[in-house]
Amino acid sequence: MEHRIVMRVRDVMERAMLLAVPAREREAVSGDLQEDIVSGRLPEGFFARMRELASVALRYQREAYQDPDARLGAAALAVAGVLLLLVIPSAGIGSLVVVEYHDPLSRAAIRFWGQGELVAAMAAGLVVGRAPILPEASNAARWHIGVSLSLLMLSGVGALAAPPFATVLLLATLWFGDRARGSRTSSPAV
Amino acid sequence: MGSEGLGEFEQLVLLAVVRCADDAYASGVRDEIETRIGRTFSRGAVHVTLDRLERKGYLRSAMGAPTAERGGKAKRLFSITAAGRRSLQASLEGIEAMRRGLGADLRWSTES
Repeated sequence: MEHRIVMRVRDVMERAMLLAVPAREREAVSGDLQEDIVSGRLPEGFFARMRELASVALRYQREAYQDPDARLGAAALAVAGVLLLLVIPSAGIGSLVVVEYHDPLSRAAIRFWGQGELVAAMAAGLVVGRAPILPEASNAARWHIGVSLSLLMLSGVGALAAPPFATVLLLATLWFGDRARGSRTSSPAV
Repeated sequence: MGSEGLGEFEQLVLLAVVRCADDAYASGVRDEIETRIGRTFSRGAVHVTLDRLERKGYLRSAMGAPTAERGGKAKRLFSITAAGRRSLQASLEGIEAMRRGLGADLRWSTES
C-alpha cells in the first residue's frame, strides 16, 4: 500500500517536472532515465530519479537564454511588462469613461475597465506571451518573465502591487498570447 | 540553418552520433562520449545539445519502438544531416589547421 502511494507520488512529481521539458522530448527523457535505472547506471530510488529529472528540466529552462538575441529579447519583454504594469494603472483609464450604462453587462465591463491593475495585467500578459521578438526555442523565457511579474505583483513591491486576481489574469492572457502566437507560426510541414 | 559554428560539446555530440550510427539516442551518445574521453557529462547537457543541434538543422530525429526496459517509452534516435556533416568537418578542419605545427608545445605528434 505504502509502495503504491510512493509510486503515485513519484509519477505525479515526474509529470510535473517533465512540464519543464519540451513536449516532444518528454517520452525520450523519461525512457532514458528508466533505462539507466534498469541497467544500473543510475541508482534506483525516489530522490535519485527526481534529482536527475530536475537537472534535465533546469537545463532545458536555461537553454532559453543560450542565444544572445534571446537574452536581449527577454530583457526587452521584461521591461515592457513592468512598464505596462506601472503606466496603465497610473493613467487612470477608468476616470475617462463618463457614459452611464444601465444594463448589467455594460456596467460590469465599465467597472472592469476602471480597474487599472486588471487592464494592465491583461496587457502585460498579452505582450509577454505574444510579442514575436523571442526565438521559438526561448519560449520558456516568456513564462519566467510572466511568473516573475506575478510574484512581484503579489509581493506588493512598490507600484507593482496588484490584487491576486490580476496575477491570474496576467498568466491566463500570457497563455492565450502564447497559444495565439504558436498557432500563427506553426506549419504542418515543420 | 546549417551555417552556425559549433561549440566543443556540440562537436563531441555530433561525433558520438556518427559513431553510434543506428542507435544514437541521448543515453547512448552520453555513454559514447564518457567512455571515449573519460569525463562525465550531465544527462541534461546531452539532451539539450541534441535538441539544439536538431534545431540548427545538423541532426534529424525519429522515435524508435517502445521497449519494456524503458518503461514502455520510445527512444528518440538521431542521425546526422548533410549540413551537420559539413559543419562538423569544417569545425574539425579549423581545429586541425590551428593545431598544425604546435606539436612540440602541446606534446602531440610533431607535424609541420
